[in-house]
Amino acid sequence: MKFNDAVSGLFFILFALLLFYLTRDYPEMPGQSYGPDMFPRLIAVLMGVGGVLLVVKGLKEWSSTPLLELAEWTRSPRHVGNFLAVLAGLVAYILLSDTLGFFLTGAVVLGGLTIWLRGREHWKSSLLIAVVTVVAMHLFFGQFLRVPLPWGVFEDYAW
Amino acid sequence: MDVILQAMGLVFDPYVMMVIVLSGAFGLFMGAIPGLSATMATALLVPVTFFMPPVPALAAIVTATAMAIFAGDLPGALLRIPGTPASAAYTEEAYAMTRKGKAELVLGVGLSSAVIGGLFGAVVLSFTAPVLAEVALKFSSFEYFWLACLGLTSAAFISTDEPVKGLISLLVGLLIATVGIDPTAGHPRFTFGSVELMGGVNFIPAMIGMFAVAEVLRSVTATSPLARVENGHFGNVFRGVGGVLKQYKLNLLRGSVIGTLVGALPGAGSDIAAWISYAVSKKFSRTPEKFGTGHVEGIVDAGSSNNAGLGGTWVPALVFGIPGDSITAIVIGVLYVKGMNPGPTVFLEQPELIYAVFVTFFVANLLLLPLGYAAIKSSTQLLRVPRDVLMPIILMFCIVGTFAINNTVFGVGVMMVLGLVAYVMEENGFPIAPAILGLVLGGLLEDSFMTSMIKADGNLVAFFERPIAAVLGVVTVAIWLSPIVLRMRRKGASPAGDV
Repeated sequence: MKFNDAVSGLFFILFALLLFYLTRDYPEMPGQSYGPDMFPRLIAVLMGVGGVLLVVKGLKEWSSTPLLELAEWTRSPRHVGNFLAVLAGLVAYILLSDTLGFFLTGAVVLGGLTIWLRGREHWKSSLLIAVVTVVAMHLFFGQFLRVPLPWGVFEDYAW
Repeated sequence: MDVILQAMGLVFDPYVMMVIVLSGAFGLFMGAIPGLSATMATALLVPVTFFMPPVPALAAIVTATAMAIFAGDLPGALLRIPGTPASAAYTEEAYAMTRKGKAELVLGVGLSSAVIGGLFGAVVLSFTAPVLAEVALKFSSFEYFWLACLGLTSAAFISTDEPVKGLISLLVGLLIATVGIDPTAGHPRFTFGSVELMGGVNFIPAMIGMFAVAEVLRSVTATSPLARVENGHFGNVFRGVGGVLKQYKLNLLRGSVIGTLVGALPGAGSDIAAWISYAVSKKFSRTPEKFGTGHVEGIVDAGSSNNAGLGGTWVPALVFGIPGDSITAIVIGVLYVKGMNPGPTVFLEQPELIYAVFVTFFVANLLLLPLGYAAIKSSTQLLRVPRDVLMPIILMFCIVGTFAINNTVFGVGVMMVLGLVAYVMEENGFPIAPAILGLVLGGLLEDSFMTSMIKADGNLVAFFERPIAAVLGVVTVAIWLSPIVLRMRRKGASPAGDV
């Protein structure tokens, strides 16, 4: 996902304007002409200037650089799938870990992702690796470091 | 002397030594796998060090990075892929030597010069940091403001050939740092009503996302098949190394000096140190024509330089709280978490902890010899670890590590979002290191800026009134203006009529 620099520049200019909008009703400090909005606005100004410089640079290269150049992997369904599988794994963990617990969510996310990446024919070893890793992580983080990893459905069997 | 003995007592403790050996093995593994860098090793270690007392926590990071920087040489020499960016400068050369059948020699020389460079960096760190800290004690918020500016600008300008992109990346980091309750008036900023965001974006999930999750995404979308290492058996790794080191002892010293100096510059770390040392080595060599054909000279320079650079980067980090590279940026975050606010006062209040860091540097670099030797011996196995198994496990480790910081999945969300942001940024040529520096230093920068503004009652001239502040300020502003001046000079130099 490589954009022409003019596109990136435009994005940061708009983003800088958004920052001004978001900081519009921040209170002033009594007796001072600046307050909590000063630093973010300073960042926004610099970001806007950077954006303008990028637009200038991008326009110079306009004829040689396309608006948006997709990386090689985006044309391979397999790799697009890999990319989405990683994100899906993260989202699944965020949504499910509290209810299902670490063991189940972890094994499903890790097992699923490993099976996807290695191919379905290796599902037995992939699942084994996932279960062993999840148990090892639970021993290390949950038991040794005392991180309260959620038990979820195994609440009654918590040790 | 008392403090040094006390520090040694802290380090030579069975628990700390165990942490050092384990993190050393971890660092070697991370460095040897292409794509997993010393920075990523540090990022993944942080959630574990979160639960440790300061000394083992810092010892783990020092050891893992020292090992990882050397281990980056292994795939460089065997596969022609640098394991970490710090080995990139001489990967071609090292691979050319392997092709000539000198794999043992190049790895032996790499290991020995790494150990010597690392020890040199440790000596410089131990002797200069306390002296500089005494100077730094006289600093006020004005000096700190300029130091933070100087550190951040050099980071933005050095890390990329497009300073604008470095600058924007830095601003993104600074902006993320403003999320939460602001330090002067206590007003919530950019929280969008979320209670979780009121506390700000914790740097640990952010850093894991930007360095580790982004790398996992890059790895699973890599389309070119990975080179496979041939079955090889290494003979005596140290045969002939003594002769090479004797012949090039001046290169060893030069590489170490350049490495430490470049490392101490804010914004430049081991990778840049290695590039500079390799270039210097070629320029002053008696046989520059041999460079690139499998000549060991440049490897002596650059191999000692990148490990020496590690020690160098800790100087500004410990003394001023200004990181030299992305690894020390993470270290500064860790120091804050441990309640050791980096800066000169640490040298007065907890000198034994600082000296323990110095002692660890010596221990880690001496330990590099046996552990590095074992890594060379097992490198063919190390390089065969399948990526498709490793990446999901790393992702799971990121999730659990992030969760462990605040015990909520909110951090996992932050990690995912910033991982995606970092991925898109890097695709478009925006470097990530400045963003992390911005995130870590944002609080200090805003704090010292606002304090100075209030002290000076809004008068900007006050930023230049104290002598040290004035010098730092002028240097910083000069760096800011340098791209414009360079551009004007380039225009002025063009032939007449070509305007």
